[in-house]
Amino acid sequence: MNNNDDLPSGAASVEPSAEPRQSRRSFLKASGLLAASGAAGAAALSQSAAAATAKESAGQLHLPEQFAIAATTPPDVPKLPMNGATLFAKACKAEGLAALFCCPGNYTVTHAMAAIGIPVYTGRDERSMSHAADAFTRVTGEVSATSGTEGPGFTNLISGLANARAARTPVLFLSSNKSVREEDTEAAIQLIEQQSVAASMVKWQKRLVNPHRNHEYAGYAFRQLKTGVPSPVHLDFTAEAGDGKLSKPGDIVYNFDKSLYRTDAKPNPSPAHIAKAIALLQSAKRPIIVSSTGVFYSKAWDALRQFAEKTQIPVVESGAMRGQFPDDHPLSATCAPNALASADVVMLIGQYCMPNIGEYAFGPDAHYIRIDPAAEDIGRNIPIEVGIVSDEKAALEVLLRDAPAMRHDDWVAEVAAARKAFEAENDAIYKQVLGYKDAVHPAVIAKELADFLYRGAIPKEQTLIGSGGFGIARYTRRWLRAYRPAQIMNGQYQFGTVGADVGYAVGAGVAVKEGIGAQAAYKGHPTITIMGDASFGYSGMEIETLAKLRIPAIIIVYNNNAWGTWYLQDDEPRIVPMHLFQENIRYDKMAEALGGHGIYVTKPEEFTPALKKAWKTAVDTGMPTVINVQGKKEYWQREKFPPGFLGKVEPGVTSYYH
Amino acid sequence: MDQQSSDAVLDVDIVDDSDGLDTVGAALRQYALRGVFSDYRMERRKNGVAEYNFGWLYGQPFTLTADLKQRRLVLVDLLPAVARDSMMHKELRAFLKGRAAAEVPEHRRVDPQRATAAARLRDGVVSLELALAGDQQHDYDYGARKIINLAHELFLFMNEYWADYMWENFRLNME
Repeated sequence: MNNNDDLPSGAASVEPSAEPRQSRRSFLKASGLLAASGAAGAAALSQSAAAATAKESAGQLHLPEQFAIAATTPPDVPKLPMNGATLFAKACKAEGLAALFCCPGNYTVTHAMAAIGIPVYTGRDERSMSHAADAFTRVTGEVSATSGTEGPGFTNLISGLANARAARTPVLFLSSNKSVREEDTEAAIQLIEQQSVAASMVKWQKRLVNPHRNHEYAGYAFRQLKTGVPSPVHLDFTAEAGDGKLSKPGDIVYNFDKSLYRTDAKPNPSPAHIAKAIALLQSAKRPIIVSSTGVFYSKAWDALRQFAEKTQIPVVESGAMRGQFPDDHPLSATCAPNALASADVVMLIGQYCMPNIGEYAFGPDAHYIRIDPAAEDIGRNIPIEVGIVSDEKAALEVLLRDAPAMRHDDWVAEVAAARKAFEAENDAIYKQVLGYKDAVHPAVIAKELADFLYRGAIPKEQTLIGSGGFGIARYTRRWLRAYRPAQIMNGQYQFGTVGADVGYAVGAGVAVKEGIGAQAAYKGHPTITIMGDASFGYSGMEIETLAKLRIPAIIIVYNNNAWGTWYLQDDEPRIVPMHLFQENIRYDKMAEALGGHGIYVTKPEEFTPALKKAWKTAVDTGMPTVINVQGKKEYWQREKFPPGFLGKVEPGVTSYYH
Repeated sequence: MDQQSSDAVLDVDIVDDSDGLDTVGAALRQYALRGVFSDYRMERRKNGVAEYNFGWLYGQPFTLTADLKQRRLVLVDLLPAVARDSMMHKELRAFLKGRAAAEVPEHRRVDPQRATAAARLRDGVVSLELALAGDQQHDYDYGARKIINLAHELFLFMNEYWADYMWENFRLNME
């Protein structure tokens, strides 16, 4: 089948759109917005923008009328003649590309995507938009895209690309890149060779030079994005590829439907290796399953749960998102960190970012099984005794079918006791820090946020949390819980970039607002993202994006007037100022100036009321709030303010959320 | 890989005239064969003492000594820059004492009937010592496995409560 069949009849027509667009004046007249010009606004170019107009009066700043017009303007139906960018956008839409996060630039491509009806969200900085795309995909499981213009837009994307690579997020990175004609000339501005810069961070990349092949290379990109171990793909568009005209069906090379250029088939495990794995699990006294990123992307959570219950093997989560195995399940070891060193057989499923010896809490006597779609990665870093090459869901379904029922009563009881001890330790920490009155300790934020989300009127599985920050995360991860897939997004997983968090809030906020993928059942609810003041300093301008898009996000900034690194230098008088900010910066005021709401919290007893107020604002108005929580940098000093700076509680001891 | 691995684990010889030092060596060698240790070496010295060298956590070199007369295993110079009677030193001692408590699961506990663990501080450097109650080969096998697992747990403890110390002294990444 040739995909030219998808083209509307009269493909050689010069009509740019199947239906005539409304003029701005006619739309305004029909919608009544002219009479309500002071309350104009909608939710950007999103599918729910029209619905959001009902809440627009809550916005503190004027939203241009063009947003509402765009929301009700039907998308173009591409017809020949078209340019190469439109052909590429058409292929992306056919693949179900869920969202594009970008700033203006790479115009032919991003404009074509907007015109064709792919949801496009624009922000203030390409870096933050790349983090938004990363977060969106990590919490939905759906491929998204991000884009930057020419040289500077592309270089701004690099931090997001590196983060997405570390987290193994299938994001399509797009950039424009001048023209073939100008290569190596330093003509005009913004020329940079992009492929070598991105090479170490992508699963696949291509510089597109020929518009006739854009559909074909979209197929290359989506084959990579939707199969195997997920990771980002980068395409850079020359002017020739984006602007080049296509006049007749024969101008489009390899224009097949996606069912003809990629397969939904997944690698299945070999029976011999499944038998070995089952034998090793049967020989174990204290087996454990590590459920990681691949379990989410393969949607293997039901199979995982059934297998764990049949074999009575506890499960601990790691990875770029959490909740695939609920924390309140009797077999969950995620909140039992002190039990992990007891495990004698560890079955790693979808653990793409592999710890090294010593980076796991599992002890030296542990034997490892690893299930991974990529044979070439099995055995890297951690020596394994059984390696299973398979899609995670396929492997778990076969294990569920073939493994006999098992019992590990003593081990399950040990895990339960460790969970109880962990909760008791957390309670003791909270009581300890209540004695610190002159600023808010991070344990107060963590404990009271957990009480609000999981032990109040809100269904405990409802709220998506973006867990970021450096010092603050040492506490929040002790109290945050996940009860359904992708309820927690683990911030700067593994790459550790500071400054991604507000961008993450944009992407995760869009995902929940629109109810995409794994967030479908929680559509429209508020989200919460936690970060430090250092991070907010990089990306705080994206509060304007949250406000513009009418995203009911609550941003908790732990403001301790310093980079998280300061206390390692506190005995170095000439060095320590390098790690400090001006004190008591009003990030809440900054939020108000950008169209959001702000609350400043300076005492422990003010935190929960502020959280309730922000929540009500989010529900009632659909607008974001920054809760600027005034902390104290000295809280990291253990001798002065125990328990000080804490370590981690995940299976990965020394690496971020391993 | 699977077959090679299981064969390798079985490839450990304990000859009839072996002593406790060989037993310790055999236990440590298994870790090396399983890929947990790298560059494992054993060197016998005089008077029933042997030294074992291997690479392990965080790419660090480790030295373990075994002394038959003293019935003692020592992981030498494990933690640098520890001040005597500092908060860290006190917590280290308390942690090791706690590993012998009855509420610790049997497979994690240092059985006080079989061994006693201690942190020995000299010149600001902590060595981990395990004094064995018995002198049979199975006592040395128990001791060798126990001190390795205990060191692992000691580093977990340090990473949890003294993360900054670990960054500074073991060049670990701050994240």
